[in-house]
Amino acid sequence: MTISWPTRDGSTTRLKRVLSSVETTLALAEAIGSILKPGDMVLLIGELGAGKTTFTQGLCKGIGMAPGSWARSPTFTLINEYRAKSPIRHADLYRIDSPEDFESIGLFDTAFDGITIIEWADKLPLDLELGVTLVVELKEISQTAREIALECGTELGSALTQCITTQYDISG
Amino acid sequence: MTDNELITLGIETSCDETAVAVLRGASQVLSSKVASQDDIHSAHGGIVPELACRRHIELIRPMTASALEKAGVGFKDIDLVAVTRGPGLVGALLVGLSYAKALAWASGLPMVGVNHLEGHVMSAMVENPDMPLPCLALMVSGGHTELFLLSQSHSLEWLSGTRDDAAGEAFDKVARLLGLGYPGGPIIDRLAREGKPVYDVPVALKSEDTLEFSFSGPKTAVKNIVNRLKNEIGENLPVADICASFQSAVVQALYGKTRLAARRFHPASIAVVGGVARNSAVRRTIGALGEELGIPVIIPAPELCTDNAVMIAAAGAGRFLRDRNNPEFHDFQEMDATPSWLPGV
Repeated sequence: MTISWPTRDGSTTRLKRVLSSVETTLALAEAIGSILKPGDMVLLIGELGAGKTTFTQGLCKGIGMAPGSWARSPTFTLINEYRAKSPIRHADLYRIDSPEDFESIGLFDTAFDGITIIEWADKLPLDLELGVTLVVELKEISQTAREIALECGTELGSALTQCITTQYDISG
Repeated sequence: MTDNELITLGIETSCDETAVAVLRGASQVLSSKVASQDDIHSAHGGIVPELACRRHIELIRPMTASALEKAGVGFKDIDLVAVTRGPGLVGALLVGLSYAKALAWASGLPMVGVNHLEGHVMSAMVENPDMPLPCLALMVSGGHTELFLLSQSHSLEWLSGTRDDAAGEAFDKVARLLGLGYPGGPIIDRLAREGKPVYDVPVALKSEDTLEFSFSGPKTAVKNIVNRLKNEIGENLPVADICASFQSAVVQALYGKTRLAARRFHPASIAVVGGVARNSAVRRTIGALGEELGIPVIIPAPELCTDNAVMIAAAGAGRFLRDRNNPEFHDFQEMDATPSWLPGV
């Protein structure tokens, strides 16, 4: 992973895997969503079509969003909010470029006590004090397969390692 | 004052645009001002350089003054204030809402909080006040792709929406993939006329018995086509044919779901609203659907399709005129912004 924000507990676990299909990607995202807690912040990095919104849909399902409601791309709306077991804010920085705007859209409003998911997070300044829980980078390796790199604090890291080794059909 | 004399000040600050309009009665537009950042956007390839809240704060007062001046009315002539309450960015919404509340409170005026999407649907009635109801409304823009049913009593029922990307967003991102600039919609529309839909761009859910849309697939399909063609023939891509293939797939999906909804709900008219309603293939195809079903298709003028305050004033005036004595129009002090509010949900 090329970028690195300080994690909440200061320590770091890095994992890299290959996800062979959209279903595998969704299943892993759902498993990760189910271990996230209110206050957590997930950053997503990847090119157009890498699967950031798909991954977010899996995360939201894991956080307990009702079946039949969908996490939609916030590219134009900038921030979408969803109801789940914990409230979710889903933001997208695709259209945003200047440092003032990161504040002006209200993303780092400390009053929010739910889970925040940010797409195109590589646009965030590296020196921002974010309290990031997890950084996810998705890379396209074929039309359906993706390479996923995860970076997080060690506590979440051991839970994630558990998820990946026991439940999912992931090679690499 | 009679219904036709009501002067409504409409205010819209839900996302990128700061817009103010003055409306007489239910549909006579006296002025409409939109501070669009499109020029700045195109210089930055669609990126918002100076966003939302601060720009709205700087613009709201001069835009209001300019709309009133153009309409030839003063603050004392306003009878009603209508303002967008949601959905949108909370900080941006609060600029318009706080300004509207202060203005209405200080002048002892009634105020209506309007849903931005309801405003888009009501934009169809500005030029067509006698639009037959119930009306099936297809709302297509960069941020939304939704189907609504506007009943004879003017209540708005949300029927379905996109599961992932909005149609306008897909246009914008495909334009970016093809290096065509911003805003992507009009450019693809123009190029598609010179091309043929020879590439297969699949659209998820198209043949399924659901009213939901999905436009993430077409974007990824174009990306795969572009990658494949670059390997096969190099950088000189058949851009017009790719645009035609993509646009045809999206328009067919919009047509298919609108047709399915029309068969289920038997509307007396169809309206197409939002920025993508300016697309020529959308206008032609949904127009043909109206002929097929024998009902009128209403598409507002281009300046009413994109974000504006006329639609907010029209939705607010309509609600006020139907129920003038409702005390809730004077009970707005505690009204809050509703960032994720879909009408009827």
